[in-house]
Amino acid sequence: MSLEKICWNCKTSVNSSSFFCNKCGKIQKPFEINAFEIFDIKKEFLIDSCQLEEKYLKLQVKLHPDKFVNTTEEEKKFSNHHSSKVNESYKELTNNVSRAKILLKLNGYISDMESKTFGDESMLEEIMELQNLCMLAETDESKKKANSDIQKVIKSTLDELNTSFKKKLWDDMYKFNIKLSYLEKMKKNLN
Amino acid sequence: MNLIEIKESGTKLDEENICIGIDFGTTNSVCAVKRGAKTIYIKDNFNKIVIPSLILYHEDKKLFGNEVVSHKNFLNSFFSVKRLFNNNPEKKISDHPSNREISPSEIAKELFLYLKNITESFIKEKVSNCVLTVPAYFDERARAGIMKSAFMAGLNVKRLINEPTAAAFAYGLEKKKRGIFFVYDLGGGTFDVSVLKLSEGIFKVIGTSGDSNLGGDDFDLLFAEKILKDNFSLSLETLSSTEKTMIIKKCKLFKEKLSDTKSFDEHLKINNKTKTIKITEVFFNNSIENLLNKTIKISQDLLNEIEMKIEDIDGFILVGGSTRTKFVREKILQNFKVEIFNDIDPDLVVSHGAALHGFELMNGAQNLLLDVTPLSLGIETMGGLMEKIISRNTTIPVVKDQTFTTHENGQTSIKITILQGERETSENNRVLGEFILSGLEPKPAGLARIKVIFSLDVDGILFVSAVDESSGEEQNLSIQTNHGLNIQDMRNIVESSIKNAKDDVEKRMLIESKIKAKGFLNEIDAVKKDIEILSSKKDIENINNLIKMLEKEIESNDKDKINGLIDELNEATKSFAQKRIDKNFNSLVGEEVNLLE
Repeated sequence: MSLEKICWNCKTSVNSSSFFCNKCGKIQKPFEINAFEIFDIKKEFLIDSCQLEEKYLKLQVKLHPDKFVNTTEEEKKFSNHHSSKVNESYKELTNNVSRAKILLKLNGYISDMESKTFGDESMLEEIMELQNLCMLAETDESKKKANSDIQKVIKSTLDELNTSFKKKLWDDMYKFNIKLSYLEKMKKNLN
Repeated sequence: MNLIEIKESGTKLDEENICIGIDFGTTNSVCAVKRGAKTIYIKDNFNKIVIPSLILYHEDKKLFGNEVVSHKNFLNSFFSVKRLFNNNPEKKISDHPSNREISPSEIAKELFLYLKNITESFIKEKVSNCVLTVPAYFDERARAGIMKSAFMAGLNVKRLINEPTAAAFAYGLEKKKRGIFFVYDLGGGTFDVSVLKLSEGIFKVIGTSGDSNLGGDDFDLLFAEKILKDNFSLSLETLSSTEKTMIIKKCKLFKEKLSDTKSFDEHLKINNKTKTIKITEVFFNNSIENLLNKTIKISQDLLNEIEMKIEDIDGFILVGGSTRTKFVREKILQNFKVEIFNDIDPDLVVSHGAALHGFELMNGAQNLLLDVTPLSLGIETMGGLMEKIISRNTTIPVVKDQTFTTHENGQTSIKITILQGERETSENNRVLGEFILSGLEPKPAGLARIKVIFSLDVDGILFVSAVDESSGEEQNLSIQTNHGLNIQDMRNIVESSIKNAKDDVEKRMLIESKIKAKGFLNEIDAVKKDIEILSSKKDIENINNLIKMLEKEIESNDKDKINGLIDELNEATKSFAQKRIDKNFNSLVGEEVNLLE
């Protein structure tokens, strides 16, 4: 992309997605940018989490408010804004469910809970069955078993999410993502 | 020295670059400062580093720290005030026997002032910048309260950092520790645990937990309780407050004695009955075992929550004076097979880390410190439930928003209650504040879209704003808080006063007056609408006039004029305040909020 903005300090033009001016080095004003663009990674469902963490930390090293203690109030505010946004975006990208949500949104798919029912009965049944298993699990051993069962289904759901993303089947992706969010919740409640 | 860099007020140059680290503890406080390559601990007139967090009002004098310990009226001192920041730091307490009324926030201010003074006389330089440490599990209100006390003492708090994080920072920098570490921080009044990943140049907190009301003070209480029960068949509650304080303070001494010897005999006089009792290590351990089990449970729960096993942990770092108790170590080793580190003095390591961080902040940070929020933040929704907006263990700073709607037809205002805590229902969580969003366009229930934005900064201080999105164009609505003065305002006041005032005392008095004035103006602003309804035209005019004058005077630096105007304004709003109490205003705006997805 070649969109540009003007640096508030030295008035030279800066790439619209940069946090700093390449001429005077000053931190730039808040601007609209999506999570994938922040870390400059491909808009895919499967991501390299090591690479993402590395990029995340590199950005925080430059943007964190601790680096701006001796600057003007304005620059402190910019740093707080960007650093917050980077933290939030990193969290969203590392979580499978919220990453899928972002991808759906970026592809123009608007999820509307009211009008879209879950629809898929077999999927619903599968979830209910697992839910039952969790509720009945009381001993450490049965909890372990339930946990590994859920883990298996999570894995296959992730595969399905990725396939539907690749094939641009947004309705399917939306559905699998809801399933995944249920599974994650169940897993969390088990511990 | 770089001559081009000379500033207008050349003498202030040093003051601006020094940044001390302050560990303001429940039982003891420690200050440290890094100068050049060396970190030094501040010593008081007794040549001591560890300063008991005590203040004693004796005759017309104020005594502090080690001055109090050796004083005959030691038992009458104010102690463990930090614990009171968990409740209401403005609620006055009284000492014994003089019944002097004073708020914990005021006592903390005096202690900060003392710490500032001994630091200045030790390093023979003026000091105003500091990094202040707080228990990781302190909530927003306690953080803001402690910061306010420090500001009032003329300290410019550059950063609040969590105590276990500060300790880990010291280990990472001084001992070059790398890997995943578990910090177990048991202080006098608070218990924190944090798991950190220490890598080259980056120290990241993965998760934190704790109990802001569990500490070594409780060891003393339980110890005293057991001694009373087993030897005198009494309980602490039945004793007079003097005797109670006496036995608790004695138990503290017994506890210390047990670190040298396994058992000893003591004469103890309670209710005029004197007995010789045998104090043993086993007896002491038994009395505190339940409490230690609680700390182990909190540690285990944290590991579960962040999905880690003890095998992932490279070591336990012990922090806080209470970890000197041998039984603490034994308990940890019993439950976790892990290497334990305490090679930096557990009493000093927090202030050491704070001093290192302070130096980095002022002289260019080489290392990145990423911390998390210990408690979830959210708002109250319909039916008294808490809707979390920022969940615990989220890396800070962070901004998050959520959209809500109205639940009655034609609703033009909503009350937004900000909550902090982990429970489902709002009544079990801490209310941080309330504000009223008014001037909404009347709409059928469920159609309005109100975006609530939570912004949590690196100090763990929260800013909340709200926008009515439904009116088509985005519009920032006025928000009325009953929170008094915000941290940024206070920081600005401190910074401007440090530059402008001539001497130390004047500077501090000016800061105090300005903070008071700003806070008061904010309070008045929050109830301005009510004033207009409840007061006469003449009163309103008078009040408005005084507000204008005070606002103008804050910009100047005349503390007497500021104080005078505060008094006048106080007088002018007195009759209004009474009328307001008579009328229950909450009934006008009590509507609830619905969650929109």
